[in-house]
Amino acid sequence: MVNWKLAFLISGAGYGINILVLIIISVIIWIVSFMIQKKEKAQ
Amino acid sequence: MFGLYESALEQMTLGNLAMLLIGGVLIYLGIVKRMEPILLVPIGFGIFMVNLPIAGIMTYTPDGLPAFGGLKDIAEGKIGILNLLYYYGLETELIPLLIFLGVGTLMDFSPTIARPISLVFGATAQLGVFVVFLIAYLSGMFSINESACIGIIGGSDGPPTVYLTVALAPSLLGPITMVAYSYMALVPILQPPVIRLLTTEKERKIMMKPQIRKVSKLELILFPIIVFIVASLLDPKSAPLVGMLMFGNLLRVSGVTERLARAGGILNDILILLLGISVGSLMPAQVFFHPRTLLIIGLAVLAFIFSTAGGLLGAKFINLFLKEKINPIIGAAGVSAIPMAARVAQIEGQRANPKNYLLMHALGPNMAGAIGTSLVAGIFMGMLR
Repeated sequence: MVNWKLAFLISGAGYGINILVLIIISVIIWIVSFMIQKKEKAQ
Repeated sequence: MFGLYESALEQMTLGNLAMLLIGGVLIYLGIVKRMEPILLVPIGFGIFMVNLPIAGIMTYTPDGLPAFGGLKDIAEGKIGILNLLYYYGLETELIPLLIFLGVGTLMDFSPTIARPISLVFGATAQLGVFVVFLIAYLSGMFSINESACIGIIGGSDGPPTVYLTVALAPSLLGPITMVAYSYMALVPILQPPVIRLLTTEKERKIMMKPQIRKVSKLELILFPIIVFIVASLLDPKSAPLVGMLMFGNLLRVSGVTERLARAGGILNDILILLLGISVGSLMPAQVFFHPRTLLIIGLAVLAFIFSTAGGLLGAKFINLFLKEKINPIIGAAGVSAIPMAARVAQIEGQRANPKNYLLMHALGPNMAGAIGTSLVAGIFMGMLR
């Protein structure tokens, strides 16, 4: 039997987690890049 | 003839003949049309190898799965050489993981690092994966695990698709992998109508600087390390895929391991050859000609369309918060399919505004798509395995 509640939960949570993880990575990359560029400019 | 000679002709079925035709079409597309030749040619020949009766190159269990055995079983004719290749290469998940290592040695993440927001498009462009997962499962034709493997075709990235399917639905590995790799070549046909439907002409004309920021060596080295650590902490099941991809990339950018990086590229070619022929060998007529296989072919189109839409809508949403707007076409490149989706973005951008060069900007989401699909594979593994 099709468990539609589980399917919607996996689908919604899966997509959400995927976006969240990549947002976190992009913010960290942005901060690290910003710091490196700032340091390079200072030098 | 007198029990001494046995011809395979009597045992050829219509299904076998049709599969030979499909194998021939794949080889034709690879050689003549140059569509993903390094994969379609071995897959096509693999189909030949398992659809000629009695040849015994690959044997199957009654469930349609490859039979398992050792060298002794080959000598006794119980299994074929491709059974060994399937078992040690795919069943153990060795081939897709090592291919990702090789892919990492070939990838340049500079465009992604220069514009980190590209990573978000690599995530929103996974929309088709989850929409088609739902459709496949709610159709009642597929189990929840099978639906996840059909959905991930929308990520347009081969190794995560193979990796997840081997883990969750090995009986569908043949059709899913063939559809995934052959549809990637159809990206230039499937994406443009979706791009034109979901963006206005004004949006498609948005100019972006032709050059991206020059990324320092330190940034290039830190990128694979950061991505691997964060991905492994937040989505642990994706660690094998992301780890291999990022390890390969670190070899490329470190500047001290060029020989290893070159070896990774060569390894990639060898493994793609083995993957192609192993996947082709999973398509005997009795497995391929099944209503579910035909449904997978249709669902894959939907997955690509929804994923393209997800990337575009993600870029349009981000634009709401940006002072200097980005051209939303680059969001469509988040479906991975490197570098074809980025080329489509470039062509569509130039069609709207001939002065626009979107290729470098589109490569950012394009590379991010590979990370996004690996994360999705990890998410499904964590939830369903």
